[in-house]
Amino acid sequence: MKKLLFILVLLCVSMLYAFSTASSIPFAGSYMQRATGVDAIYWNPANLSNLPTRAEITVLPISYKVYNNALSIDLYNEMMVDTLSQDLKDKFLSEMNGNLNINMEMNTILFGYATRSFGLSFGTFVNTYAKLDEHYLDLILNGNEYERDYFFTKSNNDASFLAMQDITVAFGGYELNKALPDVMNFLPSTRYGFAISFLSGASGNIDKFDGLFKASDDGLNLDQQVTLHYGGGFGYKGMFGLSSDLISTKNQTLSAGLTLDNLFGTFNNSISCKAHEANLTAQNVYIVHLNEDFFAEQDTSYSIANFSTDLPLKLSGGLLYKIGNLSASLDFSKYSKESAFGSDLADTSVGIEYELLGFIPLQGGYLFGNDSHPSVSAFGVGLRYKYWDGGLGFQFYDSFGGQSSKGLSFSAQMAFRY
Amino acid sequence: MKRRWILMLIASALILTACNIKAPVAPQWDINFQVPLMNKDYFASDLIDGKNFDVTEDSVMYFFTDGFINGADVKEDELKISANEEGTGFIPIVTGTEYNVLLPLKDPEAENDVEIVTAAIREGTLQISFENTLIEYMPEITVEFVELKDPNGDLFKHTFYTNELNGLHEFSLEGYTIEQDGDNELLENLSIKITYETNQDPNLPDYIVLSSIKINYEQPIYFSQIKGLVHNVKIEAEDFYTEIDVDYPDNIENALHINSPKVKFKIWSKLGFNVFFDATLKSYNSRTGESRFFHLDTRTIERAYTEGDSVLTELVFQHSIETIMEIAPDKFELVDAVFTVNNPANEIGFAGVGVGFSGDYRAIVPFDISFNANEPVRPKELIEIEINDSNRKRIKENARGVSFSVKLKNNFTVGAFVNLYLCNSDDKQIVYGDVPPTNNSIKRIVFDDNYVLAGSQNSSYDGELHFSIDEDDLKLFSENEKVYFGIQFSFEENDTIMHSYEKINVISRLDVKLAINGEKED
Repeated sequence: MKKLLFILVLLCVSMLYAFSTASSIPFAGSYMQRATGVDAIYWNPANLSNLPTRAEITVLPISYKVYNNALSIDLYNEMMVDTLSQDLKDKFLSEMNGNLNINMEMNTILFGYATRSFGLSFGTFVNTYAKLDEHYLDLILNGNEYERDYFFTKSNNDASFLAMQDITVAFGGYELNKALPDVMNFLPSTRYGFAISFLSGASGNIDKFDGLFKASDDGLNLDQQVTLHYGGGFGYKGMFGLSSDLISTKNQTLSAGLTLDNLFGTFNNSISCKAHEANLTAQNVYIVHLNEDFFAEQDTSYSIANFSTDLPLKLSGGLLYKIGNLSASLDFSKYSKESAFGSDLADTSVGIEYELLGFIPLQGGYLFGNDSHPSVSAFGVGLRYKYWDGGLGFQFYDSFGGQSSKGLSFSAQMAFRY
Repeated sequence: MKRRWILMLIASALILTACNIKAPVAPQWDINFQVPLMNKDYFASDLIDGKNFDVTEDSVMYFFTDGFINGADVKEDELKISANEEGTGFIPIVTGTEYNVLLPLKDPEAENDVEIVTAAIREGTLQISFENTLIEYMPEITVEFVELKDPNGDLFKHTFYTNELNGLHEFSLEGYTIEQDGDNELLENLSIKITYETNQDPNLPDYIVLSSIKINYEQPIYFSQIKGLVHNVKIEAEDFYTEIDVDYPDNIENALHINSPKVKFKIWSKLGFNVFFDATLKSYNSRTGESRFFHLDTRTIERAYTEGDSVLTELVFQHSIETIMEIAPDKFELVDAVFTVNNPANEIGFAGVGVGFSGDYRAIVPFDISFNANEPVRPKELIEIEINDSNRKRIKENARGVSFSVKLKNNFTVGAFVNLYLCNSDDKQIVYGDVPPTNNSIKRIVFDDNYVLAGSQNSSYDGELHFSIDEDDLKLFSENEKVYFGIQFSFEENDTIMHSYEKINVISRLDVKLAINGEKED
């Protein structure tokens, strides 16, 4: 019961939040060089100085993502019928690439304050995902094939949760050129900045998932072994960013940014660290023996030593080109290894914005899909003034919108400046 | 300002309303489960069951029964010598004479009396009588036995004073022993030394009759233990019967081929004489009411040579008992078992009350089976399929169709018709249709006349059969906690010997089409 409560609390915390800041949602994450003020604390502290006013305060920006790899809204709606046809079941299963992968991500900034050289933020980030093997769903929807081995491995059956709160202090907007010798005057105007985050939170992972199901003349055989661990703790990380103005004229600008995140990052779980092992085996079972004890079940929980949650180094880069009311951006990012924060595959996204009438930004973005997530199309609209702005953002997965999307993201943000 | 807000909200609403997401419902769908029902080898030997049935490492089938030899001990009255009323007769005690008297122990006419080298007396009375005593010399007469010792180990010696020298004196011999010093000869008489004293000694004149004495035993003397000879003693064992718990296939009497049955006896003897063993074996078949008996040949049981030791004699009776075993008995009896001590060679041995024979026997009956054509053969056990409440409910509400696939792999060297039965009764006669159902609630499903070709020991003939169960028959599974599965083989050739290792492998699979009822599902 305590475990369940613990997990429920984490999931409730997860309802509060997401990592990539609400303002980036309309651009599908192509946001490094667009981020100013409080957003720059997380995206690139070097850009703190881009704030058009002296300071900025954000008011509970929130973003929420939920998506999967197989079920579009159309397909979901199709399946919400009285009877599932075989065609519908086949269609659903054919959409999977070995598993049904469900992701949920939330973040918010409880309080954010930034000046042109300093930022302070209290944020919360929760990321959960679960993968369920296509074979399980096949068994549930169609039943089994005789003499067929159904293997289940961690690659298609996995779950993870990560809930973190951060207190991040950022310093940035410092001119790098002044610190360089004169021989390097050829460099464009470049700023740098850094941020330090103090983290607290909890995480849990499945360590082992092996399963076999087979019905054959040798009987019904089932072997399922799952091991997971969870715990809470504290950590810290650093971020270093650079931002250069490659072109800076009255009509157009081109800037480039580069960040290294999770520098010196460590997160040590030392609170309520537990492991849980569940084994279920049944060997050579026949229907005529079902009145006997035909399976062996073992369910064990035990305390474990402290463990670390990986904070893999993340390299990100971004370009932003502005001309008049139009801007376009290109971003990429890559973790050094797979972790609860995401896969180690490179993400590339592009963004575009047009300021209608000079104060209604119309935004769009596209994150290219890879093996860890579908492509993301993003749209946003807002109002932007010198001392206030706000906006809404939406994302669609594996789709440019509408019913074929395999997920939805929503963001709302508001910031005040003075 | 207000107008701009409205514009933004309209834009958001447009995007949001573009997504039409239905409220979640749990739909219904059909799934097909293919689950193994059973995988069972029906060896020829599996057609028979029971705790008195087994198969050797060489795959020879046999049934057996074990029994015991109890109560074959020497009884209390069997070690005795008969009464000797005359005894020594009255012997005058005359002064000037020494008396060494003999009391006969052997009555030539008592053929069953034991002959003694040594003995322990369990019961007996010695009588010593006096008459015509000459009182004026105040005689005292002492009687002393040479071989008779009291329980303390002292020789029997008793002095009769003058006032005791009239009439009869009796002495209980319980606990007395008869012993000889360093001698292993049979005692035909007990030696008695008689002496006297008077008040005239040493000046008593000769030839004066002081008294007359007679020593005898009017009742037999019983011994608890003897060393010597025993003649014509019969030691009977209790009758002993055993149930033979073997579940033979139906009609086994016509199919059983007995191969060299044996009855092995192991008999331990503590008796110091070779004896003859006689007994009768009886067998019964309660199914047919037939019984047979056989008198075993007389055999000799070896004697023990040291008191307290047991000597084992093993007896094997083989060919002659075939006739009593070929009726596939379910009861086996040892009667009139008797050990006879005849001892024609007059070898000196030993015996004691409660000492005798113990042992056991095992009847082992190897056999083969051959089945007559078209004669149904059924395993004794039905297979029970238990269906719990929730599964019955699921079958009732969700089952759309059930079918069986049955693979039959025949290693028998004859082809066979195979019938399969499902029934909610565990009465085999009802399951197999030998008797009509006793009430309307009995439900049977029969899949009959399925034929499998002959196979061989190394290569089976594989046949696969498919059966569907209709909606009405499904009630058998939804309305009963237990369903019983029976199988019947009818082999197609006569007199084909079945070896124990030959088998039919029955593999059954259940194909179930279930409707998952969405929100209605548990």
